[in-house]
Formats: sequence, C-alpha cells, structure tokens
Amino acid sequence: MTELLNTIVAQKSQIEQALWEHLSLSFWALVIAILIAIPLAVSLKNSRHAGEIVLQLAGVMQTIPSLALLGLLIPLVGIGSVPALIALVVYGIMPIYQNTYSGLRSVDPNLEEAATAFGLSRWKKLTRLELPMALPVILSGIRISLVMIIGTATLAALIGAGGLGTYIMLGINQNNNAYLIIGAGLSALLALLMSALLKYVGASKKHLKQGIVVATLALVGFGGWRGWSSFQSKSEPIVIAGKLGSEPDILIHMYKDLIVNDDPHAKVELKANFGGTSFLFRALRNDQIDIYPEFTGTVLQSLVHDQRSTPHDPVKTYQRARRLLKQEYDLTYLKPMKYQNGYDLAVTADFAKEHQLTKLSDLAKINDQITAGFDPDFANQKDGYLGLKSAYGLSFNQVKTMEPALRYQAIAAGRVNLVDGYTTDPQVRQYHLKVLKDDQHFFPPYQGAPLMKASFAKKHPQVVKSLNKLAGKITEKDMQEMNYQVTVQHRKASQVAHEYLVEYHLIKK
Amino acid sequence: MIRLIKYEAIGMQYGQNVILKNINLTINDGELFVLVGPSGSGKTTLLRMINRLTAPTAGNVYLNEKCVKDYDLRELRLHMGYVLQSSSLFPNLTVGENIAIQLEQQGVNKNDRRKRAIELLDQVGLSASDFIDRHPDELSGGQQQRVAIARSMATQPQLILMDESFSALDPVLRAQQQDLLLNLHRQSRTTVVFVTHDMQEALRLGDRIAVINNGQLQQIGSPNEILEQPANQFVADFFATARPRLGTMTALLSSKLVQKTSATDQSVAVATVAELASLTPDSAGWLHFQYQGQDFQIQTTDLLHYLGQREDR
Repeated sequence: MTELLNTIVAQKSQIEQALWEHLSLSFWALVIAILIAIPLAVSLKNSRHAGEIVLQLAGVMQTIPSLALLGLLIPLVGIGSVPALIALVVYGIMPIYQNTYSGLRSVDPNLEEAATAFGLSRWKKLTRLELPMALPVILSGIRISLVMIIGTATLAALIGAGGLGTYIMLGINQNNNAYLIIGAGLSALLALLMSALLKYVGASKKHLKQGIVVATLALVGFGGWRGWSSFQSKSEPIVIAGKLGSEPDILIHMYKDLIVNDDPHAKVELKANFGGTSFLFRALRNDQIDIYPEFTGTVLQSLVHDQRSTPHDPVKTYQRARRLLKQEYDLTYLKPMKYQNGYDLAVTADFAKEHQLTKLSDLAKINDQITAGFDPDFANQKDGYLGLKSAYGLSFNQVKTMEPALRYQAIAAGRVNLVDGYTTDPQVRQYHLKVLKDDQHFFPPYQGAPLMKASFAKKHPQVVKSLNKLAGKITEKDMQEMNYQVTVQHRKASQVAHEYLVEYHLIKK
Repeated sequence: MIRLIKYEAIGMQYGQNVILKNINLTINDGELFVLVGPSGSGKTTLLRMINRLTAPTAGNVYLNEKCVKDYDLRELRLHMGYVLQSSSLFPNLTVGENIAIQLEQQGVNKNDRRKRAIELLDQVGLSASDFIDRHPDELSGGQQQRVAIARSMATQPQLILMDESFSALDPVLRAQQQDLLLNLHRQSRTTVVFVTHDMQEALRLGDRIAVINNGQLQQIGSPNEILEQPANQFVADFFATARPRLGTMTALLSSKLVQKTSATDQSVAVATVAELASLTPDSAGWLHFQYQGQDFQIQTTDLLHYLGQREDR
C-alpha cells in the first residue's frame, strides 16, 4: 500500500500525462465512432438488407482480437496514436451502430405512418420523432462503446500511443503491482466515471443539452489548443523513444540532457515506454521517431539478416551490427556504452561464498547441489540453458521453470539457489545476488547504443557528438544501481539520469 | 355542390389478390363522408389513396379536379389533416408540439404555433393551460384522441382524413367524440372522410355513406336511403341491427296504408313512427298526423298490422 502511494507521489506528473493521453484517445475514438455509426445507421435504417449486412460486418470486426487488429494496422498506418485511434474506432462503432439501427427500426410503425401522412420531411421525422424515440437506446450503445474503448485503449501502449496501458505493461514486465494497480485501477475508474456521466447526460432533455454544449466546447477548445500549439512549435523536435522499462527510460533522459547541454535551443521530445523492439525499429524507419537505444545482440539476432552465429566478442558484435544496419537499412549506429545487458546466472552472495563461486565454470563441480529457477524461454533455448550445459559441462540437480518476474522472489525465499536474469536487473542489488562471470563468453554480448537514420546523423552532427560522450561509459553496476533507484525506490528516471551525468562530468550542472 | 374528391375506376391488386375493383365515387366539399364496411373490405386502402400512402394499380384519384399523383407529395399531405386510431400522438413531444407539428414543418414561428395550439385545444374542449405542456402518456385515451383531432385541424386544412379514429374507445367516450366531431364539422364545414367498420357510427356521423364489401362499392347514399332502400342483401344485412325497430317514416309513407288529407285541426306533427303510434285515434279509428308539412291519416288497425309485419321480419 505504501509502495503504491510512493509510486503515485513519485510518478504524479507521468500518471497525469498517461491519464490525459488515455482520456483524449478514448474521447476522440468515441466521437469519431459516433460520427460514423449514427449517420450510417440513419442512412441504412430503411434498407433492411444493407442494414443487416453492416450489422454482421460490425459484429465480425468486434470479434477480431484487439491485439491482432493493432498488428494488422501497423503495416498500413505505422505506429503511434493513429492505428490506436483507428482500432478503437473500429471497436467503438459496433455497439453504437447496433443500438442506433435497432432503436430507429423499433419506432412504432403507427407513428412513422402518422409522420409520413402529415407530410413531415425526412429530416423533421428524424429529428422530431425517430432520434428522440431511439435516444435512450442510442445512449446506452454509446455507453457500452465508451466503456469498451476505455478498456481497449490500454492496449494502445503496445504501439506507442501511451495512456494508462503503459503502466499495465510496465507492471507486467517488472512484476510491479503498484504499476498494475495504477494502470488497471485508473482505467476502470475512468470507465465508471465516464459511464456515469453519460447516464446523467441521458437522464433528461436538459442534461442532454448541457452535455452537448460541454462536449462541443471541449471539442472546439481542444481543436483550438492543438492548432495553436502546432502553430507555436514550428521547429521540428528531435524525438527520442525507448523500449519498455526503467533502463531505456533512464538512457533516453541521458540522451536528452546531453543534447540540450550542448545546444540549449534544441527541442527534444521523449517517448518513454514506447513499445517493443519491432515497433521501435519500424517507427525509426518511418521517421516517427529519430533516435532510440538498441542492443548490439538484438540487432544481429532480430533486426538484420545475419547468417553467421553471433560473435562472443563485444567489439566484433558491435562492428558487425553497425555494418549490417548501414548496409541493409541505411542507419547509423553510434558507439556503445560500456555495460553489457545480457543473460546471466546469479546466486545469493552467501551461496557464492560457501562454494567459492565467481564464474560459470565454477558451477560444474557442484552440479548436484543446484536447484535452478529459469525463465521458460531460457530453459529451452540453444542460447540459454541448453547451450550453457555443453559449454560449461553443467547438469543441475533440478531445473524449475517459472515466470521471469517470480525467479528473483523464488531465490530470495530460498526455494531455488540459482536463477537466470539480465546483467543490469535491479533485483541483483535488491536481493544481494552474485552474478557469475561468463568466463567462456558463451552469452552473446548485448551492448546499448543510440540508433538513428544515417540522414538524421548527417543533418545533426552536433547530436551525434553529444551522444558519443556516453560511449564506453556506464558499468553494469552503475546501471543496476540506477535501475534499482527507479524501479525499487521509485525515483524519477530523469533525476537519476541527470545525477549520473553530473557525477561523471558529462554535463555541466 | 362542389366536387372535392373523385375516385375514377379505381382498382387495386396485389398479384392475384384483388383488394378493390372498379370504384367510382365522388365526395363533395363540406361533406362528412363515411366509408363503411367490414374489416378487410378495402375501405382503409381507399382512404389512403387520397394522401397517397397507397397508390392504386388502376384508375386515378382526383382532388380539386387535379390528379393526386400530380401534387407535390409533401404539399399534398401537409395540407391535409389525418387522424388514426388511438395512440398516434408522438410520445416524445408535448401536446402543444404534437398539435403544431405540421405548422412546424410549414415554418410557422413558435409563438404563432403555440397560439394556434391553444385555440385548437379550446375547440376540442381541453383546457389549454392545463394540457399544452403535458406529454401524451399523461392523458387518457379520450383526451389523446381529442388532441389528435385538434392536430388534424392545425393547418386549417380543406380535408381531414379519419381512419377508425374512435374504434379503440369505449362506447361512452366514442359517443362523446362523435358529438365533438359533428359539432366541429357543423362549425367549420371542413370536408371529412371517415372510415369505420361500425354501421352505427356511420349512420350517426355520415352526411352520405359509401358501403364497401370485398373491394366493391355496394351503395352510396344518405343514412336514410341506406336504411330504407338497401341496394342489395349485403347492405340490408349489414345495417339490419342498426334499423329503428319501428321502421322509418319514409318506409311507412311509401306503404300505401297512409292517405294524404287536406289540413285539419286534428293533425299532430310527428317525426318518427314511435311518435305516430302514441297518438290517440278519432272515433272512426283514424290517426291524423302531419309529417314534413303534409297532412296524412292512417287507420289504427292498418298501423298495427304494419308494425306486426315488421316484427315478424
């Protein structure tokens, strides 16, 4: 509970930002869905055939898993808010259309005939009879749609549109319940609140008028603000994005500080927790972002087409990654930092002392005393435990596979005495673990470095110069410490990043 | 008399199903004209051809000597009143808004619409201040139908169409509404075409009545003509229960039992057979009476014989 409160206090402005992003994304999705669904239903209400077909079609769209829909949209419209908005609109249309259509069709035919016989125009009939009669049903459709949109909008974080989903994803990734509660709780609260608001609006004609006035004002105000701000920011900002998690967040804040330190007029926009590797890579190539930190090992294994096995030498790995990125995608890969963030095996400090363990080759002699807790992927991959077995002659007494986030808790509780992990995981510090040295260089080296388009690098030599100051800096211990401060102590990534740069005299205070 | 509506060789057919067959009919301006017949006879279809809710498959309907097909549809309907069976008020609108809906479509301003609604509520016997802002669901069935009548008069139309307008009301309310309609019609002389399956209602309301059965016109005439000279067995049977028990004066006078006489002091003016039967005969057994300014006499025994024969029928 206190952890939750601490997180909320520390992240207040980010939470507000996420809430705002979530709200505005949902709001626009709802407005667009209404603007599509209601006129569609109105125009199809008299043609039974077409109306039913559209109803079926909307139903089918509803059944596409939202994640799949987002995936389908990425090749078409890229990443960020646009595909998120499109997906949410697609979801939002169905309940509104269905309710409007059936609401309009269920108007008493007697009344319809009376209106026709009185010589009322179609518009008059619609506004004076049909829409008012169908209104309660339409409003309940809008409410259903709104709740769905707010819920589904949490997935927008997956493709870099931000919102409360960012917290849910971070929470899942880092096994951080405070984040999960913030993300899920706030989105649920938002849905309830908005639904109640709509119910109030639908309660009477007067409320409806008030609601329409407020919504219109909000629309006009927001449009004006957007127009004004886009008019204001004429110079294009440099957009730096990071993957999910505290480490990329810290790194991009360092990038920003370094750039702004050298050029106080530079405009830098950060997109933290922007998404996974492929999203970011695509975003970079589509000019939606300018820079993001990427690992050398990831480049060779997932981004470029490398037939050969990944070298164990970090320098060679970097060289090859740089060359292939340039060759295949015309990207510039700046020099990497010092620390390696790859797989490792860790034991408790006591256990290491007891058996005098410092490196992986020390493990072979105590095979029968080891109960390992491994991530299921790691346990079954050739570059994981399977390869490790033959490289170091390992054959542990017992291997338990468990969720990545649970491994550290398991070792802290003494249920296992060895776990796999990443070298910069803050839990290494949190639980006083000992990382064993990969003395035979089995694990592919993962070093982080800024990735950008060659054209961008050419156009901004100053930025390249600023970012290169990080080359060869930051040890694994440093990174662990910083990750620890952000994820466990809930300090702001920007502060932690800034302190490091100042401490190592990379920027002036 | 000015001819307002003319049906000319009207036919209506859905595939093999004949709804109406060669209907020729004229309705005069200012008449309260009733179309009566059993359900499924085609009378409502005939009514709906006037405002083009239904189009005939043969023949033409003329309004003011102009084929209804040639009117602008909206204009045609906008200048006609229409009263359906109950519950045709728009539930989302107030009584005032309901009454003025056609005026609203015509673009009459809000003030004038309200004024007209007040006027009309007054005419149909509802207190305007009490009813104008209520919603239909706060009204009784009879009140709703009064509002529907008020609504049909809003544009001061030349013609009001009424389709089974009182059929859903109980007998007492129905009689009240009929009185109201007769009253309003007497004042305004607006042409009303009234469809009903109830011959009592037809007789009560109609200046003239057209009897329809199986899509064919059986007879057109005044209530008296329909009763006394039914054109065929169907008409006679249909109105049998509606006939006055003692017959009509017209029937009696045409029976040859009655003798015209010159004016005498003894003559008493009568209007119905029942009144005649209550007179006291003279010493010779003659009943002396006056009907529509003409003096007649009849033997008491003859009258009793005549009435006895009617009873047997």
